Amino acid sequence: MKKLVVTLSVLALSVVGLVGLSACGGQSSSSSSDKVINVYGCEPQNKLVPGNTSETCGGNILLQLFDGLVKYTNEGKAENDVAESITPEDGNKIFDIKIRQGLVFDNGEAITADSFIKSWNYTALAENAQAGQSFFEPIKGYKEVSEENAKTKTLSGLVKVTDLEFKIELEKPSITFPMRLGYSTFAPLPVSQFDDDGRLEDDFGDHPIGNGPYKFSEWNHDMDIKLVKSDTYKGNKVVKNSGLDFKIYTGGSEAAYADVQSGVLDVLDSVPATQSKTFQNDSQVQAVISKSTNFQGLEIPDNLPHFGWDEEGQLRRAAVSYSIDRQSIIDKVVDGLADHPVSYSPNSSEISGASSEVEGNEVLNFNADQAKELWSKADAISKFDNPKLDVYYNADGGGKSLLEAVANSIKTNLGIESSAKSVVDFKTLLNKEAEHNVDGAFRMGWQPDYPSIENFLAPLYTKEAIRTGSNYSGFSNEEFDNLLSDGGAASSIDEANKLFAKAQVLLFKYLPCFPLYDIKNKGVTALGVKGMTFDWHSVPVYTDISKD
Amino acid sequence: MARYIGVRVLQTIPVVLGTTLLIYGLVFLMPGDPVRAMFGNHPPSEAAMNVVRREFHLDQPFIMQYLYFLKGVLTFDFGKTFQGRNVSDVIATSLPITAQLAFLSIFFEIIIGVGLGIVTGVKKGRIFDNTVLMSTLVIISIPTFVLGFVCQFIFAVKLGIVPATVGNYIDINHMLMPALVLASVSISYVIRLTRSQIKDNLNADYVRTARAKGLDNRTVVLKHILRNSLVPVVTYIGADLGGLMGGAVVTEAVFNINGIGHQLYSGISRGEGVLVVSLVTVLVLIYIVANLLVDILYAFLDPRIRYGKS
Repeated sequence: MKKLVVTLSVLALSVVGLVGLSACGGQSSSSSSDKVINVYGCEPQNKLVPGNTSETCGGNILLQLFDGLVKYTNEGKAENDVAESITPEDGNKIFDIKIRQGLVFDNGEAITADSFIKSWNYTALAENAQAGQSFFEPIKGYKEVSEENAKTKTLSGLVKVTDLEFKIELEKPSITFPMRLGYSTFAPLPVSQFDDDGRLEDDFGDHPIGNGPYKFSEWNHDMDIKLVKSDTYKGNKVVKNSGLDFKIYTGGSEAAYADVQSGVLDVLDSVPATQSKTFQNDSQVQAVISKSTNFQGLEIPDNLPHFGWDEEGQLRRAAVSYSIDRQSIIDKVVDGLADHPVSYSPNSSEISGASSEVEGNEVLNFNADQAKELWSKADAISKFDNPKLDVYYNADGGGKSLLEAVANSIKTNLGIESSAKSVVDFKTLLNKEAEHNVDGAFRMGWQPDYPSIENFLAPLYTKEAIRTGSNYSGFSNEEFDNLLSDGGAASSIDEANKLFAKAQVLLFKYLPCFPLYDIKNKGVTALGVKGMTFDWHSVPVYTDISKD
Repeated sequence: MARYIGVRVLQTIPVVLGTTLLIYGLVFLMPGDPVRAMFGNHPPSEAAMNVVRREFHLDQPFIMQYLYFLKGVLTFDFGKTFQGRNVSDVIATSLPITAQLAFLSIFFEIIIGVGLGIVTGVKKGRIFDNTVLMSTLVIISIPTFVLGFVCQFIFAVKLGIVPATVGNYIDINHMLMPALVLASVSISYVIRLTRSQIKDNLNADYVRTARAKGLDNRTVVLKHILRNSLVPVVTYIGADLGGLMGGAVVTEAVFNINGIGHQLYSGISRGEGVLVVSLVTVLVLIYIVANLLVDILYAFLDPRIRYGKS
C-alpha cells in the first residue's frame, strides 16, 4: 500500500508540474499583419459538397470555398461574379450565361460551362440524394430527373453553347432567377472530379476543390476546418487575412463566448442567450450588431377548427395578431435586439422589394380593443366554445420564452385559453407541421435564400409549397399564386415587386402566418479583431476580417 | 481465477445483445422522421429521400434494421453516420478523448477523494473535518454545469490561469479543469465514503491489536485501516468509471470537448440509430470491464474473497 501511495503522490506532483509548465507556455506571439483568423464553426451535417449542403455549418464554409455565377454585395444586390454576363431571353424564360475567361479551380482546372452543367445535373438527380436538389426545381427537366428510377439523368433545360457559354431554360419565366445563382448549391465543380456516368467522386467532400477566395486545407472532424488564402484565385473578392480556422464547437455557443473573452477565438457570429443582456457592455469582447434579413413569426395551420380561410377564420387570425404586444415581447424576451415587423419580410434595404408600407400591415400593431372586437365578430358568425389557441415550439431550439410571452399576450388581451407547449425536438415538430398535425399555432423562422421579397412569399405560402416547400399553414389561394407567377414573368424587377406587394396585401387579409419580430444579427469578436460585419445573409464577411 | 474471468467474459454476450436491442428499439421509437429532418426547410424530392432511407435501411422494419446492425458488427463494419463517416472512425477519435477525461477524473477521485477521506476520518470532528464535510455537501448540491460555468468564468475568463475550453487541444493543461469539474461530485462521495469507513474501522479489534503490538500510527492507518476501508470505495470508483465515460455530456458541452458524450447526444438528436447503438455498445463493454476489474481487485484487498471455487 505504501508503494501505491508513493506512486500516486509522484503522479500528483507531475500533474502539478505539467500544469505549471504549460500555463507559462500558453501565450504565443506573432507580429505578422497577415494572420489566420480563428472563427466559430460547427460540424457540417454532410461532407463539404456545395449541392449537398443546405444548413449553415457547412454552408458558411462552402461560401468561402466556392464562387458562384453571381455574388451578393454586402447590401444584398446580386452582381455578376464568375458570370461575365447573364442575358434573359424569351421573356425571362431562358438565360444565356457567359463565363469569365481565365478563372480556375484550386487544382488549376479552368472553369467552363461544363463545370456548372455537370455539377447541377448531379445535384438535381434523385439517385444522388443531394440536399440542394429542390433549388433546381425551376429548371426545365427537373421533374424527370427528380423522380424515382429516373430514366433521364440530365436536366433538359441546361444546354452548352461553347466552353464558356451555356443556356438555362426554365419551366416558367422568372425574373428573379439570376438572383438565386449566388447560393452555394449553384457552385461549379471541377469536371475532373466526375466519373463517366456523371457521379461525383465519393471523397470529394472530404477535401473539396473550389474556386473561391479560400482553399480547403484540412478537416479534423468535430475539431476544426482549416482554410487558407487561395493562391490561384483571380476573382473579385479581396482577402485581408491569410486564412480561416473554423473551430468547431459541439455544445453550442456558450463555450465559444468564453473563448472569445479569453482571446482564443477571434469571431463568434452569434451570442448565447446567457450573455444576451451583457455582451454589449462586456469589456473583454467587441459587440457587433446589425439588421438582418431573418424574422420570427407565428403560423396558424388551417387544420385548427375555427381558423379556416373563410370570414370567421380571417377575423380570428386578425384578432390574434392584434392581441400580441410585439414591442414588449421584443423588449423583454430578446432584450430589445430586434425590430418591430412591418411586413412579410424584414424592412431591410438588402431585400429587393421589401417595404414598410403594405396595405393591411396595421394588423401587426398591438391593439387589444380591436382584437376583442374582431373576435366577437367571429363569434357572431360561428360560436367558438371553450376558445383556445395553444402555441407550440421545439424544446431544443430556445423558443420557450418567446412562445410563453406570445401565449401570455393572447390570453391576457383576447381573453381565451392559450399556453405554450413544447414538442421534444425540431425534427418532431417539423414532421407534425408537414403532416398538418399540430394542435395549435407554431413558431416559424425564415432566412431567405436570395435577397428578394419573392423568397419570403413563394416557399411559404403558395399552393405548390405545401408539397415541395415550407408551407405548413396549408394556405392555398389562387389569386396569390397567380400574383407570384405573374411577378416571376414580369419584364422588370420593379414591376415584379409591385405584384409581390399585391400578394402581400392578400396575406395580410388571410394571415396564414404573421411576423413577430425582425431578427438582428448579433456577434462578438475578440479584442484587436477588425473589420467584422455581417452580410445580407447573416454570414460574417470573413474576407474583410483582420487582427493586430 | 482464469475460469472465473472466462465465465464473466461469456456473460457479457447476452448483456451486450440485450442492451443493444433495447437501445436500438428506443431510438427506433423516437418520434419524427430522421430523413425528413436531415433536409430541414429544403426537402428534396421524395425519390431522393427514399434513396437515403434505403441506404440506411430505414425503410425496413425494426428487427431487420437491428439484424443489419448485428451483421455489420460481426464483420467489424459498424456502418456509416448520416454525414458519411465510418462509425468506427467516430468512435476511434472520440473515445480516447473521453477516456483521457475520465481517467484524469478517476485520478483526482483517488488522490483527493481517498486522501482527504483518510485525513478527515482520522481527525474526525476537528475544524478541518467539518470544513471538508461542508464543502462536499455544497459541491454535491450544485449541478455540474453550474459549477462548470462558474469555474470557467473565474479561472479562465477572469483570472486566465487555465484555458476556457478544450477544443482540439487534447492535453493535460486543457483537460485539468474539466476533469476536476467532472470529478467534483464523485470526489465528494469518495471523501465521505472513505471517511466513514476509516472512522468505523478506527475502533475495530484488529486496530487495537496492531497498536498494542507497538506499530506506529502511520503504519496502522495506511496498512491496516485503509486496506480494510477501501473495498466499498473501490466498488464506487469502478462503477463511476462507466458513469464518467457516458455521463460526461454536460461537462463536454461546457468545455467544448468532442468526446463520446457529445457524439451520443448529437446521434440521439439526429435519430442516428446505428451511431447511438455502436457508442452504447462500447460504453457497455467498458462498464463490464471496469466491473470485472473491481471484482478482481477485491481479492487483493480482502484475502477472504477468493474466486474460482464454488
